[in-house]
Amino acid sequence: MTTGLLPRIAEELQDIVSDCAEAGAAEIAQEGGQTMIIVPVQAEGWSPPVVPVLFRVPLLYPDERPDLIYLDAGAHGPSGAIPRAMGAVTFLGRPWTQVSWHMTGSYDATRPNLQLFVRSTALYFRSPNP
Amino acid sequence: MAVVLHFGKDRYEATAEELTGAELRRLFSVPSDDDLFRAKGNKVDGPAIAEAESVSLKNGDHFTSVPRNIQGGAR
Repeated sequence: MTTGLLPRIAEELQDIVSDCAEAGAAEIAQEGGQTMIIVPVQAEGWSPPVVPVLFRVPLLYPDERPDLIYLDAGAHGPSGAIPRAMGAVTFLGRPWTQVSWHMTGSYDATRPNLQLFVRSTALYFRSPNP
Repeated sequence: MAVVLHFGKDRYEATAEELTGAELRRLFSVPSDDDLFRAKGNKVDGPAIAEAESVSLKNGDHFTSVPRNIQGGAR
């Protein structure tokens, strides 16, 4: 559901849905005025091999940068650990593991930063355990 | 013969079947702060392509880029 979103954000969310279509269906949801998208991400060596990842659309996006990723609470890496895990949270009635993943440094609000942030998640799943 | 490549939603034609990473970056106008990757659809596939790396190309190859400033740890 993308009702009430700026056209640019709605379009970007649809681009994200298209990007991940090969891995599965993405889900756009809203809770307490916060828009979120759950994206299936292929994660080699992980269990499960396609991990649902939740991204929050910042309330002031695109001026505010995306921050943090949330993995389905049942997911874990090859060693059994979750790199950069920060703790457990609940969104949309489901448990998630909050992971430290950030856009640092300069920020260009004219770029499709949410889409780039989602795309970067593939790099997270390749990163070694801490 | 031109090789048809895709970067994001855009279609490009390369004039050779092998280009360096730097040549690909120029072709796609990749932002200087981004790393360039091969892609499946629009998803990152494989390691970042170095500027000096020689890249074999074939019709329909997809590429994408991701800002280097997205990472774990402190902001």
